Amino acid sequence: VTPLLEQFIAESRECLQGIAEKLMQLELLPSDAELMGELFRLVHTLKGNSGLFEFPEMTGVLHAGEDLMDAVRSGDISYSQALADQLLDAMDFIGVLCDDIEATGAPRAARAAEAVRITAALRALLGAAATVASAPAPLSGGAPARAVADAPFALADVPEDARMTAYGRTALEGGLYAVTYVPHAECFFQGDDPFFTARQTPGAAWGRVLPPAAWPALADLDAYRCVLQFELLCTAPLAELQEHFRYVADQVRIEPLDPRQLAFARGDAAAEPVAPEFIAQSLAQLDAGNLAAVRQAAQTLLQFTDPDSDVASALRWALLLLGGEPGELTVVRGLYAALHTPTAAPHGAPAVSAVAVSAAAIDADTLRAILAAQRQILSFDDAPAWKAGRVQAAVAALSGCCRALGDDAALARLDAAGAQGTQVLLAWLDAQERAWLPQTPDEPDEPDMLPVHSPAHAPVHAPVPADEAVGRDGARRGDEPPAMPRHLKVDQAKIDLLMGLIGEMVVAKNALPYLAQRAEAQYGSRELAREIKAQYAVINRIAEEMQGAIMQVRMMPVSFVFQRFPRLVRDLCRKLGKEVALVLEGEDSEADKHIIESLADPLIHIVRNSLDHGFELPDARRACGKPAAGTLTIRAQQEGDQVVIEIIDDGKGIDPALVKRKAYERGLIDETTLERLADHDAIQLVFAAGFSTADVVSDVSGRGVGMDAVRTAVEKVNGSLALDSTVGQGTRVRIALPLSMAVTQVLIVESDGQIFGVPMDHVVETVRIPRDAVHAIKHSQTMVLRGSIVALKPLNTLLRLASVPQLNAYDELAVLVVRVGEQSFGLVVDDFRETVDVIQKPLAGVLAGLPAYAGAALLGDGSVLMLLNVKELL
Amino acid sequence: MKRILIVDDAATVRLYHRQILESAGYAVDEAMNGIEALEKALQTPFDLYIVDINMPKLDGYAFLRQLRTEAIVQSPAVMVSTEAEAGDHATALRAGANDYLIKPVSPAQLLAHVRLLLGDTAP
Repeated sequence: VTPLLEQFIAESRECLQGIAEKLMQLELLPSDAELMGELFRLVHTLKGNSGLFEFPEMTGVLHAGEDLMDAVRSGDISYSQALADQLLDAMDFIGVLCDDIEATGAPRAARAAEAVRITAALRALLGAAATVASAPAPLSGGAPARAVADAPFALADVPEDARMTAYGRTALEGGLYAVTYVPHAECFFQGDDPFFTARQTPGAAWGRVLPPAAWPALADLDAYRCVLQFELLCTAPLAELQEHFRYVADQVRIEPLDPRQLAFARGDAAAEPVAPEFIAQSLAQLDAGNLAAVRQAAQTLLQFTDPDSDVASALRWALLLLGGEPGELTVVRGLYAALHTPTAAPHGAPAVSAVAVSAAAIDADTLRAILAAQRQILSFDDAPAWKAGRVQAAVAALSGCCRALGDDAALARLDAAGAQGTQVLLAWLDAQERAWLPQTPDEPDEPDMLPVHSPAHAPVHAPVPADEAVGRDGARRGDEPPAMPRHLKVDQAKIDLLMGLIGEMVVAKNALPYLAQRAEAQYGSRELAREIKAQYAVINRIAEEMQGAIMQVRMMPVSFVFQRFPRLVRDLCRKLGKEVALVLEGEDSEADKHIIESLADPLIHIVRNSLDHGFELPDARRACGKPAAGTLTIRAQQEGDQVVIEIIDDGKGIDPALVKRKAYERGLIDETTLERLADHDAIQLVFAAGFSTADVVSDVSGRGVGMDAVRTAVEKVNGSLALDSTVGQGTRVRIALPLSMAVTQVLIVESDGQIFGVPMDHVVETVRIPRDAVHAIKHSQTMVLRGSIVALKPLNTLLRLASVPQLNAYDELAVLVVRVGEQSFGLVVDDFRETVDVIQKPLAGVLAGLPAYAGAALLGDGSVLMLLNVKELL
Repeated sequence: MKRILIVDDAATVRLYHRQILESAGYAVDEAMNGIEALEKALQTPFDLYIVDINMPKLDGYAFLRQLRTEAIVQSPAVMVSTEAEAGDHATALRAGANDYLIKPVSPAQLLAHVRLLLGDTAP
């Protein structure tokens, strides 16, 4: 990937983001001209950039988008939601193309059909009248060379009769496509018959088989691999072509052609040039609308022309086109003009002067264009403030021409003329132009006519020149010193590395207390032990601060996730026919990057659910006395060391009776539970795996991966989830997440002579209970803790360890009360130890298959602590 | 070495033109809008300006009018635009441009125009 392409991708992404934002803002302020102008500029920039590369899919779509925005900006078309939808669609597609280009340097071949569809959709919005005005440039200008260059494959190779057949057929059937079919090398093994498929293409007017760029050596040639490709010119509706190629859609590129692209002359150079009188007369007749006379003249000339010559070809096309629609006449003009050009720029005439020769070497067309432009500048009769500067610049440009041509005499005369005003300068220019360009074919007498550098275009709206006063104010504002960037962009991998290092450091420093212990116990040096402990305290403080600081770097605002909601809500509302206003609050609340990222999917899921099931249709809302538009509030705030995100809707709420019935039908609860379950507990059933209240799986949600996936995702980052709902009033989902997950605090417990870690998030309390306080209820042991019954599970049993829990000197059992979801359990262990901060590492390899452990951590003395996964264990 | 200022809000276009012009031995500077361009041009005049039309803050027309009003040394300017804006060449010339090209400009085309305006011959 070249730097230019890299720059292109980066800037395109920026533009796309900007376009999406502007479209959102325009939803609220549809008549804001400044926003509209800004939006147009972004689309325009994107399109301009894409023109530097050969990405026809991209340029095509953007061109249509730009035309559309231009029409909206100038008020020809009014801004509508349908329009915004279409444009967002198109920009999403451009984003996909950018991904392709970044990955492989070019869009995937399969994108072409999509590009055609999107372009057509955008053009459809422009309306019929606008479509003609902004038809792709090569078509309206009728300049054959450019048309061929822009065609998807070499149209020049298509013989004239095939082109004429295709042209005739499009008039009847409509739809003209260039199909390029590049079968996979392995296609024979996939049951494809490329040759047959290509031959059967509907409406094929012409086709050919192309060999690969270079044949491999005969010995390397694998007859079972397809190396050929097909090119076809078809007149058939797009849908029919897509249907025909549906099994090989990714290998086919279908591009629409304008029938007028087919109309160009091909043949041997004519032996005799066409008489200029014939061309001039025909063009005049064309302008006068006297088509019969033009036809008559062309037929006559055709009889005297070698049928294989390019002139004959042009005449045949002209005759065909003259019978067609009035729009084709521009093409006829183009054909005549092309007849004119090759004979009008001969090398025949001997050089008039030495300077003229070098002018030809320099590029007569460029020189002519520049001279004509300066003539026009000198001829303006307005007198704005910048008139003197404008004339000076024109003189500078003319002086450049003199020097480029090496014409010192002319330069001297120019310097003299420069002081005497524009009339003298114009006289100098006339004289000089005659000297330098003696064969000027048609003197551009009209001051407003400039030789163009690319085919002529249909007029398009020119941007309104900015008001002068605004320009001046703008210039003054430029005095402010440019702001220096205050942010550094750092690769995330570097931060992760720092994070990993500080984690190791925190653990390593924990070795110092052990060292102090050894110094005292083993070497009897209490003094040394104290010094080590003092040093430890210092290192501990620095390490903790450092960890905090690095964690700060990883913090990012929740707006990262929130920013996609306006679009999501908008699109879904459109799809579901609902009206919902989105309110975002607390977007700058921060949390660890990892947590924010893991939050994205659950949040989208909840929002989707809310829109699909929560909000009623506007009519239903009005019927129960609510405003037609619902309100969806997504609020983030920091509470202690947690960030809490609430998603609140004022929809119809969750009906506990319905949830219970569905859960029962799906076998998630039994009959007794069905009767007993309180309403609040009932709605929690939506978190059960496989639960769905939707009778029909909709496009938006309800595919069975429901709220249980949300809960799993939240719990994975040690978060918690709560759901409240009132029928008829709405639903509130509350997600609480830790600010950071780098360091886990665990309680170390001892059992069967080993130590295990239990994450503090799960620990409710530690109690010691007398052995006789343990009761057996239905084969399971329980205890009563402050009036409620807690089931007891010996850790040894859960881990399949043989020994029984040990009692302490007072005949008491050590019970660790843990909470899993809404329920509490008592884990019976041998003893409690201290709590430590550890960096939790996931288990890898074979150990990863042990669900009882959440991970492992390294302790200060270098030993490994296994961390229990309490939820799985119970 | 002759100095050329590229005025365009699209970074990709600036880079594209810069690569072409630098390869031909010109010194190139860039501005992303009319205001920045005007600041640079009024401080040290360039030998040539290559100016986009549609830019934020101060567009190409306004920049040229301002430049032609205020600059002490006047150098040629080439206006470069896409088809959508190409409606009116006269507007560009009236505002102070000396030449007009349609994007995308091929390297050969750009250099042909630049050399002629600067009085250079192709090597």
